[in-house]
Amino acid sequence: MALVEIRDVHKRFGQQDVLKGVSLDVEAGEVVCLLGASGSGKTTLLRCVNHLETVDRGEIKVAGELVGYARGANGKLKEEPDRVTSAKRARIGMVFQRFNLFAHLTALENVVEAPVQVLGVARADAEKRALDLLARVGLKDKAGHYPHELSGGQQQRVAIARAVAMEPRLMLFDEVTSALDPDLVAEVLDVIRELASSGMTMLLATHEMGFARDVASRVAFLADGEIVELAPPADLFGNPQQERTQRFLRRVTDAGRL
Amino acid sequence: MKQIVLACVMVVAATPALAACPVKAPPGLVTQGTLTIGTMLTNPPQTFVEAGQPTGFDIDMSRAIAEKMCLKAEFVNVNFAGLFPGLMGHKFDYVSSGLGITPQRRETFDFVPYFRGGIQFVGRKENHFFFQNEDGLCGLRVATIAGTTQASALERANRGVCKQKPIDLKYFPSFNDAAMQLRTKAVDIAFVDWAFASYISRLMPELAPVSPIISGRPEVPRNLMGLAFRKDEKAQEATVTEAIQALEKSGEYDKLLDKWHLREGDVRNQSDDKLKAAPQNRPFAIVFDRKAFFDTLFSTQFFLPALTTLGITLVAMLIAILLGFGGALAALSRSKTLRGIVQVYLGFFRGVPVLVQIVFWYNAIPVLTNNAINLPALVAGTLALGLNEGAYMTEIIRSGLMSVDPGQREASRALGMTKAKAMRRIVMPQALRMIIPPTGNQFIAMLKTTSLLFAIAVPEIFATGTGIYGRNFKYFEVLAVVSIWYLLLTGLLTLIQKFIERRFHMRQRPAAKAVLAEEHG
Repeated sequence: MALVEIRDVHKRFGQQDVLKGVSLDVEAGEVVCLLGASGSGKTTLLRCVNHLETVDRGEIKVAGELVGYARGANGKLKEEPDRVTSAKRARIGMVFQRFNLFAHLTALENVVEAPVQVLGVARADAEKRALDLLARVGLKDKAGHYPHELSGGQQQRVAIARAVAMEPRLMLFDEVTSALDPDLVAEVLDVIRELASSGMTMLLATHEMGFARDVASRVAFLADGEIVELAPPADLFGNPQQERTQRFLRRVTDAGRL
Repeated sequence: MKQIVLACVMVVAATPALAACPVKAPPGLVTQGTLTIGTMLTNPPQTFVEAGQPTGFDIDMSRAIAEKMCLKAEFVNVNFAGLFPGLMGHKFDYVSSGLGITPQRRETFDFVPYFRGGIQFVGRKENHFFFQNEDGLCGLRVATIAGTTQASALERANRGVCKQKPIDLKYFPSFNDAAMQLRTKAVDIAFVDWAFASYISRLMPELAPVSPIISGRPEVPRNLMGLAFRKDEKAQEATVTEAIQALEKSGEYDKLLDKWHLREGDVRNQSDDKLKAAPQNRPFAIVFDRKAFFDTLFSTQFFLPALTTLGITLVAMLIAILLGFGGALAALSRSKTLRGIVQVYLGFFRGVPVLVQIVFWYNAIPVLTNNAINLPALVAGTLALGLNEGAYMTEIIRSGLMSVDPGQREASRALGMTKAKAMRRIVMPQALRMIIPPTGNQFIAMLKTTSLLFAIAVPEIFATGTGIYGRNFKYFEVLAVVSIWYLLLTGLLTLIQKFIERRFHMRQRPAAKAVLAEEHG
C-alpha cells in the first residue's frame, strides 16, 4: 500500500477547475516532485493532501486514512471533526513558500510550540530536540532570534526544523525556495536534500529543475489541473513522452533554469 | 343723546389705546420684538408640548404677558440643569418653568411670583395610602427628581425621622418618568409638584393624590413659584410685574387658572410677605470665586464619585471586551447566522446614540417588561455603556484578528493545532499587539463617556458637580473642579496605557524590520 493515495481528485475555485481528476501514489521513502507552470494545480494538490483545501470529488488517503473526511453510512464522504483532522495533520509536515514562522516566537519556540501543544511532549524534552534540529539545519546559534531577525533562508530552515520536530511520516514542500533570493536557495535545498537522504517521504511542488533531477524518485508534470506525465527524473527530463512536457522543458531550458 | 355720542367717541378712542400696548415693552430684550422665555417643556400641566406646540399654564401666562406688551412670545426648551445657566448666559429674557422661589435662588436671581406651588404625593388608588407629610414615607419606594424641593424634603426625612427605615429614593429626570414608575409599580409613591399631581390623576384613573398640598417643610407656607430674572435687569422685571397685575385685574389670570384646573395655585390666596417683599439688592458680578473653587477641589465629596466613575469604566470595558471577543469571533466564523447576529448588533448599537441607550435601559426596560426588569441606575447605566462599547470593541478585535497574516493560522493548522488552539496560541497573541493600543484609547473615551450617566442620576463625577452647582450656582468653579478630576483619571489611564504598550513592544518590533533583516541576511 502506498503511503499517499490520491484518487481522481477534483477541485474548483469559483468558475475555474484547478484540479481535473488527479491520481498519484507516493510510496514510503519516495521523493516525488511536482513540476508545472504557475496555476497548473501543484500547490492546490499539496494543500488537499493535508486538507488545508477541501476536495470536491475523489479522495486522498495518507497511510490508509482519509484526511479531513470520514465515510458516512451511505458511502459518501463528509467532513470529520476538526479535532480528528488536526490529529492526522500532526503527522504530515508542511513547509510553505512564505515560511509562515510564528512571528511572536523565537526560532526555538517556533520548533517547540507544536510538539508541546499538540503532542504533549514535556517542554524540556522538546527544547532539547529542537536544539538538535536547529543544529541539523545549521542554526543552533540563532535559537533565541525572532523570525524578523533572520534571513529568508534561515527562516525557511527553521520552518523545516519546525515541521520535522513533529516526526511526520510525510513532508509537503510548497515551492519553498520561490520567495528566496537566489543566493539563499542553496542552503535550503541542502537541508531538504539531507532530509531526503534520511529516507523521509516527500511531496514537493517546485520550480527547481536541477534539484528535482538530483533528488526526486519520480517527477510529475502538471498542466491545467492534470498530471500530464509521471516518470523517473532521468526519463522525464531526458526523454519526455508528451508534447506538453517537451514544450514546458524547452521553455525552462531556454530560460536557463535547467 | 349727547352722552351716548360721547360714550361712542370714548369707546372708539379707547379701543386703539388698548391695542396700543397696555404695558410698554422693556428695553434690552434678547431678541427685539420678542419675549424669549426659557422653559423645560416636560413638566405638565405648567410647561409641556402638545401637538408640537409649547402649552400649559406657564406658557399661557407668558403668552398673555407678551400680548400685554404687544410682543411675540418665543419659548426656548432646555432641560432643568440648563435653565439658570441659560438665563445667566442671556439665552432668554426670563425663565418660566414652575420654579419655586427659594432664598438660595434669590441670592442669584430675582423672581416675580405668579403661582402658588406646593408638593403632593401621588399613589395608586388601590393602595389607599394617605399621608400628612413625608414623615410617613419611611421604608417606601419613592420616585422624584434629584435637586428639587421634593428631593430635599425626602433627604431631610431620611436624616431625621426615617433614619432607621430610610425612604428608598429613586431619582428620575422628570415627574413624567416618576409617574411612569408608579404605573409599573416600581415605586409606591411619586413625590411631585401638586399641579402635576392633579394633572396626572386626571390623566391616569388608577392614580390619585394621596396627601394634602404641602410645603415640604414644617411650619412653612407653600412656596411661591416665580418667573426668574437676571438681577441686573430691573426694567424687564418691572414691566412683567405690571403685565401680571393687569392680567389679575382683568380676570384673565382667573380664566387661566380655571382652564388648567389649578385654582389652588392662585398667587393672591395667601399672603406671603417675606417672599413677595422686594428682593435684597446685592450686586451680582461674575467673578471667579476662588474660595468656592478650592473648597470644592479639596473637599472629599468627589472621592466616591471618582471611584464610581472609575468602577463604571472598568466594568463597562470588561463587558465590552468580552462582548468584543465574542462578537469578533462570531463575525469571522463560517456561520451565516452568527455573522448576521453580529451585523444587527453592530448596526443597532453604533446607530443609536449612547445617551438614548442609557435612558432606554433605565426608563424604558421597566415599562417594557412590566417591571420584571427594573435595574438600579448604576447597573442600567454600566450595562448600557458596556453593550454600546462592545460594538466598537468587536470591530477593534475583529480588525486585530484580521491583521494577522493568514499564513500564521495555516502553519498552525498544518502542525496539527485545532482551530481553537491556533487561535489561542498563535493568532490571538499576535492580534493583541494590534488590539491593545486602540483598546487603551477606548478606555479613556469610556471614562469620559460615563459622564452621560448624570442623565439617570448615577452619582458619578459630573452628576456630583451638577448637584453642587445646582445649589450654589458656581458653574465655572465647580466645572473646573470636575474637569480636574477627569484630567486626573484620564492621566492615570494614559500612564497605564503607555506602560502596557511599552511592555508589549519589548518583545515584538514592527514587521517592517523583518524586511530589513532579510535584506541584510
